[in-house]
Amino acid sequence: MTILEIMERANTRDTKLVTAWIKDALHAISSTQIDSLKVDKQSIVKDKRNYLIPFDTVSIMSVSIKDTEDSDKYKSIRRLVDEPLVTERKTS
Amino acid sequence: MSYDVDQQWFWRKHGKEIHLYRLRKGRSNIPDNKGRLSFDDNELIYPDENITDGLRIEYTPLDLTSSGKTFVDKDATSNAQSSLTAVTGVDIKESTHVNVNRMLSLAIVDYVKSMVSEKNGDIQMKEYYMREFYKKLADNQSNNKRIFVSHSNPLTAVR
Repeated sequence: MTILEIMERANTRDTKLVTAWIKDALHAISSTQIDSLKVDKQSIVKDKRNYLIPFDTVSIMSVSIKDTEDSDKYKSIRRLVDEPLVTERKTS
Repeated sequence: MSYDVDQQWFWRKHGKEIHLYRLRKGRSNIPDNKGRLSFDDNELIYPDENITDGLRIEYTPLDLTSSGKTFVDKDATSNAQSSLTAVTGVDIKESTHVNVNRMLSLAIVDYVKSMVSEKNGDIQMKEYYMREFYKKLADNQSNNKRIFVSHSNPLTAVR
């Protein structure tokens, strides 16, 4: 459907405003629908626990770790519900 | 070398970051260097090795199309995705197509109607169209699922 058709159906003529609303609608759709998935891979560094979530993330579907002793398969890992007992470690 | 990762690794969301932990299993029947026995030596530790491309995050992106083609030059419902060209920025015109299926296009129409109603100060109509918008999203999602329900005839049923 073209932007013009959407404007005609909604009975409005402001193209720029309608385009902005369409973008908002697409954001609302992507936060509720699982239509497309993206994958981000990062290298794990020894003694580093924090890794950035991709900036365009709406919701995380799964987190996996490479099992180097099982043909480099990525295996899904579990999410911790509670904060671990030791929350931070002194780094050298 | 990472092994049994599904058993040993855990993650936790922390703001814009993911925190990774590995479970180190210990033995509670061996005293430590101070002669003390611990009830449970299992502990969560920071990653203890380097793994190239070791972390894989699968997520739903803000952009509905993973190829980045949100606005395109041709009708997405009648052309192959590979033949579509992305339209961005100032090139977006009235003739530009939104790269979603028919049901989601109709949902977008409801969203725009809702915003128009809000602009005109008609909150009741705004809420009505927002309900229609979410109803169409739900329809679109449920259209992808086929659920089969089977009923067996009871023994006493007339045959």
